[in-house]
Amino acid sequence: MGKATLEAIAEYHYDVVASLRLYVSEECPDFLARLNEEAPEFLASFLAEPTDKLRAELMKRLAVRLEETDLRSAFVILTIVEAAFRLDYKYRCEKRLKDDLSRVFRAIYKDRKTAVRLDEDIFEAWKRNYPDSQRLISELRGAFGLRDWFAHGRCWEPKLGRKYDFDYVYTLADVVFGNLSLREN
Amino acid sequence: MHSKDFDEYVRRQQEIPPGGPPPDWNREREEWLDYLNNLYKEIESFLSKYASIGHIRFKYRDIELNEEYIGSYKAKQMTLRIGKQEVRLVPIGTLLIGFKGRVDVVGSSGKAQIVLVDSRVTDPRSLVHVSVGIGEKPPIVPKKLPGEIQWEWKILTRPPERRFINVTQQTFLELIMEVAHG
Repeated sequence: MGKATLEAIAEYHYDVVASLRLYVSEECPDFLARLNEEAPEFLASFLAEPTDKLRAELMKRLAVRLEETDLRSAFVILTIVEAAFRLDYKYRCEKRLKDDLSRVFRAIYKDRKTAVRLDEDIFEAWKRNYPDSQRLISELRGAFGLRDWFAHGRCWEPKLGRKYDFDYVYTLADVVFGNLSLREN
Repeated sequence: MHSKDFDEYVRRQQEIPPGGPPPDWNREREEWLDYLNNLYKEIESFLSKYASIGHIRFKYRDIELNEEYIGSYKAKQMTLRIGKQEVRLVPIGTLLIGFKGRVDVVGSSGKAQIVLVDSRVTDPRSLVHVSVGIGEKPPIVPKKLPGEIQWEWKILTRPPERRFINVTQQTFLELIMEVAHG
Protein backbone atom coordinates (compact mmCIF):
# COMPACT_ATOMS: atom_id res chain seq x y z
CA MET A 1 0.00 0.00 0.00
CA GLY A 2 1.14 3.59 -0.47
CA LYS A 3 2.80 5.29 -3.41
CA ALA A 4 2.69 2.28 -5.78
CA THR A 5 -1.01 1.69 -5.07
CA LEU A 6 -1.78 5.36 -5.59
CA GLU A 7 0.07 5.39 -8.88
CA ALA A 8 -1.76 2.28 -10.07
CA ILE A 9 -5.12 3.93 -9.27
CA ALA A 10 -4.06 7.08 -11.09
CA GLU A 11 -3.00 5.11 -14.16
CA TYR A 12 -6.36 3.34 -14.23
CA HIS A 13 -8.18 6.66 -13.72
CA TYR A 14 -6.41 8.37 -16.62
CA ASP A 15 -6.96 5.32 -18.87
CA VAL A 16 -10.70 5.51 -18.19
CA VAL A 17 -10.76 9.28 -18.78
CA ALA A 18 -8.93 8.85 -22.10
CA SER A 19 -11.29 6.03 -23.12
CA LEU A 20 -14.37 8.12 -22.33
CA ARG A 21 -13.03 11.05 -24.35
CA LEU A 22 -12.48 8.76 -27.32
CA TYR A 23 -15.86 7.05 -26.84
CA VAL A 24 -17.88 10.26 -27.31
CA SER A 25 -15.64 11.71 -30.02
CA GLU A 26 -16.18 11.50 -33.77
CA GLU A 27 -12.95 9.49 -34.01
CA CYS A 28 -14.56 6.57 -32.19
CA PRO A 29 -15.03 3.74 -34.76
CA ASP A 30 -18.70 3.15 -33.87
CA PHE A 31 -19.57 6.82 -33.33
CA LEU A 32 -22.11 6.95 -36.19
CA ALA A 33 -23.60 3.51 -35.57
CA ARG A 34 -24.06 4.24 -31.86
CA LEU A 35 -25.63 7.66 -32.37
CA ASN A 36 -27.91 6.20 -35.03
CA GLU A 37 -29.14 3.68 -32.49
CA GLU A 38 -29.42 6.04 -29.51
CA ALA A 39 -30.45 9.33 -31.08
CA PRO A 40 -31.20 9.13 -34.81
CA GLU A 41 -32.70 12.64 -34.97
CA PHE A 42 -29.69 14.12 -33.29
CA LEU A 43 -27.42 12.25 -35.71
CA ALA A 44 -29.37 13.54 -38.73
CA SER A 45 -28.99 17.14 -37.51
CA PHE A 46 -25.35 16.55 -36.67
CA LEU A 47 -24.56 15.12 -40.12
CA ALA A 48 -26.45 17.95 -41.85
CA GLU A 49 -24.51 20.59 -39.94
CA PRO A 50 -22.32 19.76 -36.94
CA THR A 51 -22.88 23.10 -35.24
CA ASP A 52 -21.18 24.21 -32.01
CA LYS A 53 -24.50 23.71 -30.23
CA LEU A 54 -24.71 20.05 -31.28
CA ARG A 55 -21.07 19.49 -30.36
CA ALA A 56 -21.81 21.06 -26.98
CA GLU A 57 -24.56 18.45 -26.48
CA LEU A 58 -22.01 15.69 -26.98
CA MET A 59 -19.58 17.41 -24.62
CA LYS A 60 -22.28 17.73 -21.98
CA ARG A 61 -22.70 13.97 -21.93
CA LEU A 62 -18.94 13.54 -21.69
CA ALA A 63 -18.75 16.03 -18.81
CA VAL A 64 -21.29 14.02 -16.78
CA ARG A 65 -19.35 10.79 -17.35
CA LEU A 66 -16.04 12.45 -16.46
CA GLU A 67 -17.46 13.92 -13.27
CA GLU A 68 -18.75 10.53 -12.17
CA THR A 69 -15.41 8.88 -12.98
CA ASP A 70 -13.57 11.58 -11.04
CA LEU A 71 -15.78 11.03 -8.01
CA ARG A 72 -15.37 7.25 -8.10
CA SER A 73 -11.59 7.49 -8.39
CA ALA A 74 -11.44 9.98 -5.50
CA PHE A 75 -13.49 7.53 -3.43
CA VAL A 76 -11.12 4.66 -4.20
CA ILE A 77 -8.14 6.78 -3.13
CA LEU A 78 -9.90 7.58 0.16
CA THR A 79 -10.55 3.90 0.85
CA ILE A 80 -6.81 3.25 0.40
CA VAL A 81 -5.98 6.06 2.82
CA GLU A 82 -8.46 4.73 5.37
CA ALA A 83 -7.07 1.19 5.09
CA ALA A 84 -3.52 2.51 5.56
CA PHE A 85 -4.45 4.35 8.78
CA ARG A 86 -6.28 1.29 10.13
CA LEU A 87 -3.43 -1.09 9.29
CA ASP A 88 -0.94 1.28 10.92
CA TYR A 89 -3.12 1.31 14.07
CA LYS A 90 -3.19 -2.50 14.13
CA TYR A 91 0.56 -2.72 13.54
CA ARG A 92 1.38 -0.27 16.35
CA CYS A 93 -0.91 -2.18 18.76
CA GLU A 94 0.31 -5.67 17.85
CA LYS A 95 3.99 -4.73 17.87
CA ARG A 96 3.56 -2.86 21.16
CA LEU A 97 5.63 0.07 19.93
CA LYS A 98 6.86 2.47 22.60
CA ASP A 99 6.10 5.90 21.12
CA ASP A 100 3.26 8.05 22.49
CA LEU A 101 0.91 7.51 19.54
CA SER A 102 1.28 3.73 19.78
CA ARG A 103 0.57 3.89 23.52
CA VAL A 104 -2.63 5.87 22.88
CA PHE A 105 -3.62 3.34 20.23
CA ARG A 106 -3.05 0.44 22.65
CA ALA A 107 -5.33 2.11 25.19
CA ILE A 108 -8.04 2.40 22.51
CA TYR A 109 -7.41 -1.21 21.45
CA LYS A 110 -8.27 -2.46 24.95
CA ASP A 111 -11.84 -1.17 24.46
CA ARG A 112 -12.43 -1.33 20.77
CA LYS A 113 -9.99 -3.87 19.34
CA THR A 114 -10.15 -3.48 15.55
CA ALA A 115 -13.56 -1.76 15.66
CA VAL A 116 -11.68 1.50 16.02
CA ARG A 117 -13.27 4.69 14.67
CA LEU A 118 -11.26 6.43 11.96
CA ASP A 119 -12.21 9.99 12.87
CA GLU A 120 -12.76 10.07 16.63
CA ASP A 121 -10.03 7.57 17.54
CA ILE A 122 -7.32 7.38 14.87
CA PHE A 123 -7.36 10.90 13.39
CA GLU A 124 -7.82 12.46 16.83
CA ALA A 125 -4.85 10.52 18.25
CA TRP A 126 -2.64 11.53 15.31
CA LYS A 127 -3.57 15.16 15.69
CA ARG A 128 -2.95 15.24 19.45
CA ASN A 129 0.36 13.39 19.30
CA TYR A 130 1.74 15.09 16.20
CA PRO A 131 0.45 18.69 16.31
CA ASP A 132 2.13 19.51 12.99
CA SER A 133 -0.23 16.99 11.37
CA GLN A 134 -3.26 19.06 12.48
CA ARG A 135 -3.81 20.85 9.16
CA LEU A 136 -3.44 17.62 7.18
CA ILE A 137 -5.79 15.72 9.50
CA SER A 138 -8.32 18.53 9.27
CA GLU A 139 -8.25 18.32 5.45
CA LEU A 140 -8.55 14.53 5.62
CA ARG A 141 -11.62 14.89 7.85
CA GLY A 142 -13.15 17.14 5.22
CA ALA A 143 -12.33 14.69 2.43
CA PHE A 144 -13.81 11.78 4.39
CA GLY A 145 -17.12 13.65 4.31
CA LEU A 146 -17.08 12.80 0.61
CA ARG A 147 -16.13 9.18 1.32
CA ASP A 148 -19.01 8.77 3.82
CA TRP A 149 -21.52 10.39 1.48
CA PHE A 150 -20.45 8.16 -1.43
CA ALA A 151 -20.23 4.96 0.66
CA HIS A 152 -23.76 5.48 2.01
CA GLY A 153 -25.37 5.69 -1.39
CA ARG A 154 -25.26 9.50 -1.76
CA CYS A 155 -28.59 9.72 0.05
CA TRP A 156 -28.10 13.25 1.40
CA GLU A 157 -26.87 16.59 0.13
CA PRO A 158 -23.18 16.66 1.05
CA LYS A 159 -21.98 19.76 2.89
CA LEU A 160 -18.29 19.74 2.08
CA GLY A 161 -16.01 22.67 2.82
CA ARG A 162 -14.65 22.50 -0.71
CA LYS A 163 -14.67 20.40 -3.85
CA TYR A 164 -12.70 17.22 -3.22
CA ASP A 165 -11.91 16.04 -6.73
CA PHE A 166 -9.55 13.29 -7.81
CA ASP A 167 -6.56 15.62 -8.24
CA TYR A 168 -6.90 17.11 -4.78
CA VAL A 169 -7.62 13.82 -3.03
CA TYR A 170 -4.59 12.35 -4.79
CA THR A 171 -2.44 15.22 -3.46
CA LEU A 172 -3.77 14.65 0.06
CA ALA A 173 -3.03 10.92 -0.13
CA ASP A 174 0.42 11.59 -1.58
CA VAL A 175 1.22 13.95 1.30
CA VAL A 176 -0.07 11.36 3.81
CA PHE A 177 2.07 8.54 2.41
CA GLY A 178 5.05 10.84 2.00
CA ASN A 179 4.97 12.20 5.56
CA LEU A 180 3.25 9.97 8.10
CA SER A 181 5.34 6.78 7.81
CA LEU A 182 2.24 4.58 8.13
CA ARG A 183 3.22 0.96 8.82
CA GLU A 184 1.46 -2.22 7.85
CA ASN A 185 4.10 -4.92 8.40
CA MET B 1 -27.09 12.32 18.11
CA HIS B 2 -25.49 12.38 21.58
CA SER B 3 -24.74 15.77 23.09
CA LYS B 4 -21.19 14.44 23.63
CA ASP B 5 -20.78 14.32 19.85
CA PHE B 6 -21.99 17.90 19.58
CA ASP B 7 -19.64 18.98 22.40
CA GLU B 8 -16.75 17.39 20.51
CA TYR B 9 -17.81 19.09 17.26
CA VAL B 10 -17.99 22.52 18.95
CA ARG B 11 -14.62 21.97 20.62
CA ARG B 12 -13.01 21.10 17.29
CA GLN B 13 -14.30 24.27 15.68
CA GLN B 14 -12.45 26.35 18.30
CA GLU B 15 -9.06 24.89 17.51
CA ILE B 16 -6.42 27.19 16.16
CA PRO B 17 -4.02 25.73 13.61
CA PRO B 18 -0.47 25.40 14.96
CA GLY B 19 2.09 28.04 14.14
CA GLY B 20 0.53 31.26 15.36
CA PRO B 21 -2.71 33.23 15.43
CA PRO B 22 -5.61 32.35 13.12
CA PRO B 23 -5.14 33.70 9.60
CA ASP B 24 -6.99 36.72 8.29
CA TRP B 25 -9.23 34.90 5.82
CA ASN B 26 -10.23 38.04 3.92
CA ARG B 27 -6.59 38.84 3.36
CA GLU B 28 -5.91 35.24 2.26
CA ARG B 29 -8.72 35.50 -0.27
CA GLU B 30 -7.59 38.88 -1.61
CA GLU B 31 -3.98 37.69 -1.96
CA TRP B 32 -5.07 34.63 -3.89
CA LEU B 33 -7.28 36.69 -6.19
CA ASP B 34 -4.32 39.06 -6.82
CA TYR B 35 -2.08 36.15 -7.74
CA LEU B 36 -4.84 34.87 -10.01
CA ASN B 37 -5.04 38.22 -11.82
CA ASN B 38 -1.27 38.23 -12.23
CA LEU B 39 -1.43 34.77 -13.80
CA TYR B 40 -4.07 35.94 -16.27
CA LYS B 41 -1.98 39.01 -17.17
CA GLU B 42 1.03 36.79 -17.77
CA ILE B 43 -1.00 34.49 -20.00
CA GLU B 44 -2.32 37.47 -21.97
CA SER B 45 1.27 38.56 -22.55
CA PHE B 46 2.29 35.02 -23.64
CA LEU B 47 -0.48 35.09 -26.24
CA SER B 48 -0.35 38.77 -27.24
CA LYS B 49 1.13 37.94 -30.66
CA TYR B 50 -2.00 35.91 -31.53
CA ALA B 51 -4.46 38.16 -29.72
CA SER B 52 -3.27 41.29 -31.53
CA ILE B 53 -4.38 39.82 -34.88
CA GLY B 54 -7.59 38.35 -33.47
CA HIS B 55 -6.59 34.69 -33.71
CA ILE B 56 -6.98 34.20 -29.98
CA ARG B 57 -9.62 35.99 -27.91
CA PHE B 58 -9.82 36.32 -24.14
CA LYS B 59 -13.06 36.28 -22.20
CA TYR B 60 -13.61 36.62 -18.47
CA ARG B 61 -16.56 35.79 -16.26
CA ASP B 62 -17.08 35.53 -12.52
CA ILE B 63 -17.67 32.11 -11.01
CA GLU B 64 -18.62 31.36 -7.43
CA LEU B 65 -16.23 29.52 -5.15
CA ASN B 66 -16.95 28.24 -1.67
CA GLU B 67 -14.28 27.41 0.85
CA GLU B 68 -14.29 26.55 4.52
CA TYR B 69 -13.41 29.60 6.69
CA ILE B 70 -13.59 32.00 3.72
CA GLY B 71 -17.15 31.17 2.67
CA SER B 72 -18.64 32.01 -0.69
CA TYR B 73 -16.89 34.49 -3.02
CA LYS B 74 -16.46 35.31 -6.70
CA ALA B 75 -13.33 34.63 -8.74
CA LYS B 76 -12.59 35.35 -12.39
CA GLN B 77 -12.50 32.52 -14.88
CA MET B 78 -10.53 33.14 -18.07
CA THR B 79 -11.52 31.59 -21.39
CA LEU B 80 -9.22 31.47 -24.39
CA ARG B 81 -11.02 31.16 -27.69
CA ILE B 82 -8.73 29.73 -30.38
CA GLY B 83 -10.79 29.32 -33.56
CA LYS B 84 -13.31 26.62 -32.68
CA GLN B 85 -11.40 25.48 -29.62
CA GLU B 86 -12.02 26.82 -26.17
CA VAL B 87 -9.66 26.53 -23.21
CA ARG B 88 -10.93 27.55 -19.78
CA LEU B 89 -8.78 28.52 -16.82
CA VAL B 90 -10.98 27.55 -13.89
CA PRO B 91 -9.97 28.81 -10.43
CA ILE B 92 -10.44 26.03 -7.85
CA GLY B 93 -9.52 27.67 -4.55
CA THR B 94 -6.84 28.76 -2.16
CA LEU B 95 -6.99 26.91 1.18
CA LEU B 96 -5.50 23.74 -0.18
CA ILE B 97 -2.92 21.51 1.46
CA GLY B 98 0.45 22.73 0.30
CA PHE B 99 -0.89 25.08 -2.37
CA LYS B 100 -1.84 28.73 -2.04
CA GLY B 101 -3.99 28.35 -5.10
CA ARG B 102 -5.01 26.08 -7.94
CA VAL B 103 -6.31 26.76 -11.43
CA ASP B 104 -7.44 23.97 -13.76
CA VAL B 105 -6.75 24.39 -17.46
CA VAL B 106 -9.61 22.62 -19.21
CA GLY B 107 -9.81 21.92 -22.93
CA SER B 108 -11.68 19.58 -25.24
CA SER B 109 -9.12 16.81 -24.89
CA GLY B 110 -7.91 17.11 -21.33
CA LYS B 111 -7.31 18.95 -18.12
CA ALA B 112 -4.14 20.15 -16.37
CA GLN B 113 -3.32 21.94 -13.13
CA ILE B 114 -1.46 25.16 -12.48
CA VAL B 115 -0.72 25.60 -8.78
CA LEU B 116 0.59 28.46 -6.66
CA VAL B 117 3.41 26.99 -4.58
CA ASP B 118 6.38 27.92 -2.46
CA SER B 119 9.10 28.30 -5.11
CA ARG B 120 11.61 26.45 -2.88
CA VAL B 121 9.60 23.21 -3.00
CA THR B 122 10.48 20.81 -5.82
CA ASP B 123 8.37 17.78 -4.96
CA PRO B 124 4.62 17.72 -4.10
CA ARG B 125 5.32 15.35 -1.18
CA SER B 126 7.40 18.08 0.48
CA LEU B 127 4.50 20.49 0.55
CA VAL B 128 3.77 19.55 4.14
CA HIS B 129 6.15 18.42 6.87
CA VAL B 130 5.06 16.15 9.69
CA SER B 131 7.85 14.63 11.80
CA VAL B 132 6.83 11.15 12.88
CA GLY B 133 8.69 8.79 15.20
CA ILE B 134 8.04 5.06 15.13
CA GLY B 135 8.62 2.98 18.25
CA GLU B 136 11.72 4.27 19.97
CA LYS B 137 13.08 6.00 16.87
CA PRO B 138 12.83 9.77 17.32
CA PRO B 139 11.04 11.82 14.68
CA ILE B 140 13.19 13.10 11.84
CA VAL B 141 12.87 16.87 11.82
CA PRO B 142 13.08 18.17 8.26
CA LYS B 143 15.64 20.86 7.47
CA LYS B 144 14.15 24.33 7.28
CA LEU B 145 14.13 25.58 3.71
CA PRO B 146 16.51 28.51 3.22
CA GLY B 147 15.13 32.00 2.62
CA GLU B 148 11.59 33.34 2.63
CA ILE B 149 8.48 31.91 0.94
CA GLN B 150 8.05 33.19 -2.60
CA TRP B 151 4.76 32.10 -4.15
CA GLU B 152 5.06 31.09 -7.77
CA TRP B 153 2.70 29.58 -10.34
CA LYS B 154 3.85 26.15 -11.55
CA ILE B 155 2.39 23.52 -13.80
CA LEU B 156 1.87 20.29 -11.84
CA THR B 157 2.24 17.25 -14.09
CA ARG B 158 -0.09 14.36 -13.46
CA PRO B 159 0.83 11.15 -11.57
CA PRO B 160 3.00 9.12 -11.49
CA GLU B 161 5.52 11.87 -12.33
CA ARG B 162 3.97 14.85 -10.51
CA ARG B 163 6.69 17.39 -11.19
CA PHE B 164 6.50 21.16 -10.88
CA ILE B 165 7.31 22.96 -14.13
CA ASN B 166 7.84 26.71 -14.36
CA VAL B 167 5.12 28.59 -16.20
CA THR B 168 6.87 30.13 -19.21
CA GLN B 169 5.55 31.05 -22.61
CA GLN B 170 6.85 27.77 -24.04
CA THR B 171 5.49 25.50 -21.29
CA PHE B 172 2.14 27.28 -21.34
CA LEU B 173 1.77 26.93 -25.13
CA GLU B 174 2.62 23.23 -24.81
CA LEU B 175 -0.01 22.91 -22.10
CA ILE B 176 -2.67 24.43 -24.36
CA MET B 177 -1.73 22.00 -27.12
CA GLU B 178 -2.04 19.11 -24.66
CA VAL B 179 -5.52 19.99 -23.42
CA ALA B 180 -6.97 21.38 -26.63
CA HIS B 181 -6.37 18.78 -29.24
CA GLY B 182 -3.20 20.43 -30.57
